[in-house]
Amino acid sequence: MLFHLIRTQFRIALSKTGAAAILFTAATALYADVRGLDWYASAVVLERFVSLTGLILIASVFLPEQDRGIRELVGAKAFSFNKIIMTRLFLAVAICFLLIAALAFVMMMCGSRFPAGAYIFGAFATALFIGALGFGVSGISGNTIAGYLVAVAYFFMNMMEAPKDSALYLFSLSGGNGYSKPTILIIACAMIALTFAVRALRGSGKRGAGILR
Amino acid sequence: MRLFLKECNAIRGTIPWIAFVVIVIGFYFMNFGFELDNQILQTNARKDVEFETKLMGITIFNEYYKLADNPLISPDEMQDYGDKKVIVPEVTMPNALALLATEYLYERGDYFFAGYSDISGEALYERRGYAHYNKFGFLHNATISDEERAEIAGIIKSCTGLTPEEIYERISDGLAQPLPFVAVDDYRDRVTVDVSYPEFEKMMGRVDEIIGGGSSYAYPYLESQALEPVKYGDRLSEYQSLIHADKVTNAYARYFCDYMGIVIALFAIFVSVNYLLRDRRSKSSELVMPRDISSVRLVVTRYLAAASMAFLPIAAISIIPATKLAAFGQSNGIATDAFAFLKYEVAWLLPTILFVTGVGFIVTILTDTPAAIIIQFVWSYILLIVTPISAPGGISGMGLIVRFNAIGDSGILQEHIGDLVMNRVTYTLLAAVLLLVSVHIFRLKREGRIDIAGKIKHALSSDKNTVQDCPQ
Repeated sequence: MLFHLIRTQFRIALSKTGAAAILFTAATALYADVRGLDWYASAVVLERFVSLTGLILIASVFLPEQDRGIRELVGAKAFSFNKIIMTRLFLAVAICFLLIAALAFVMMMCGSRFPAGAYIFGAFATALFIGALGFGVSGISGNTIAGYLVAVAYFFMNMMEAPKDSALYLFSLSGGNGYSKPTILIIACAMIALTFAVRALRGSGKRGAGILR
Repeated sequence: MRLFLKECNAIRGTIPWIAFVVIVIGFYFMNFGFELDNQILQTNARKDVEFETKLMGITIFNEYYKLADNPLISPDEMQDYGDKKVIVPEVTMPNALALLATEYLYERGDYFFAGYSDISGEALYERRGYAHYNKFGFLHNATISDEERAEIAGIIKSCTGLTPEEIYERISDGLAQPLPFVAVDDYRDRVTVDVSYPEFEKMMGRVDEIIGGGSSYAYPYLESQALEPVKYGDRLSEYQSLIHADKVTNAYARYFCDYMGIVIALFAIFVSVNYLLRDRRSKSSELVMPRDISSVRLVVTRYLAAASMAFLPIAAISIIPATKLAAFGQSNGIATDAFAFLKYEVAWLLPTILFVTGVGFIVTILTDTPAAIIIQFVWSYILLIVTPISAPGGISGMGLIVRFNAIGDSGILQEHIGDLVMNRVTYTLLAAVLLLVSVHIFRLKREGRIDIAGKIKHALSSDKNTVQDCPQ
């Protein structure tokens, strides 16, 4: 039963985005040329590039229900829509973590030097944060494109002008310390919980994703 | 026209368009608006000042401004005119060779510079090779073969008559490890160079080739080896060019376009993709397909509506700096160009909007998915990293994002205006091609002759039951 649910949801929601995320990670490894990177270059690859897999995978969890036909069909079912979303979310987060860890492993095999545990955690925290931001906006507004847009905007604000000592700074690994990572990981989890809470209050958990324009 | 206005109205109410407007406003103030306000205020104050802008108690802009940093101030009001990076053979050559000798020893493993991570305490900040940027802008530490190492040692010897070890001894001042970036120090008293600058440049070209390109020994990084104080005459001619040739507003319009080009390349795609997917989301595409309107008229009208709605917030927000600079000009007796921003936006930014909207249309009509967002975003992200931030590099390539991160420098623009025109015309023509192909694909879909989206869906699912499979 559980296996069936996971397999079905993977096929519906994650087959395309999963393929895109794998392609993106592989392309990053190639164009960044991950052989013999030092700590700084490794941090750039992991937290400024591969963390974008969080955006691709997690922010798009509500995407299938953007189609009115699927939304109406899901809304008519008796099972909890939130349970379906949780399953997809769990899969998306797991794939995201595995991709980051896999690339970090490949980088180390190719002679790059960095503390693997801290870097995987740091890159994953960034990925989860931007993914959760997109997930939240998408889940509350009913518009996945808006979710992508807000998450990308926050990502770029951090690249361009954000204060580097902010607790919500996404790229603190490149500064050599990663001080903001635990905070953004906690906030990412809070955003996901808040999205479910808002949807539960609005009753959208039972009748499929609410839709705005 | 009625259809066009109707389509514009439909975009106006969408969440991505509203978010796009908010991003344009935020980006404007963070990168341009606050800086312009502060420069105008400082021009009135005539002294070095520290500006801090807070929003809801959070500092979002904090910068110490010297008079020399403000292009609006006449050099007659300043004590010094700042520094600029230059190639001065008698400084550039010894500095570059001192750096080369140091990197040679790092790479050979004689020394390395180490800093320590706050995360693990491990020595992370270390260099064991020649620092260089690969073609995608990533910093690498290159290692080389024994033969190549011998060749570099030979180059150092033929330039200075010294071995890398001897140079290192002269420049390290008894420190166990020299600082990793020695480029701005002046080593001309300690390293004597016996070759002419053209010979030196040729040999450094070979060094750069061995390292893999993007090293400190070739353009543009070789220019970072020497700093020179700006002379009064140079500063005065820059100021006069800003006031007379650029009429102030033209220079600021270019700076505005530099930042807004990034916003458009990254975010305008969301507006068009969301707009096209709206039909699919609401299942109205089945209603649109058989309508009695030609494919050309429908797609072209929608394309123009999406492009116009992406251009509108940019044009609207540029009224703010145009008005402020007009008022500044009036109070200081400087003639300004009221249409400078609009001219630059049309010539510089509109081709980017047309192209990005074209990418959104062709990919979305073809696949019925938001794939265009990922394609455009990844491409623009890489372009943003690899495109040089300033002219001439930023305006002379064929990249979608044109960079000109300077207020003034109209001389450089004039020199490379041909490249810039070629770039913008190319993207406008490509946009037209994308639009024509989009119309054709839409027509084929309407006639039921292609269904790429269906094929993708079919390829990715092994059975036809998807949502229906969910457990009850």
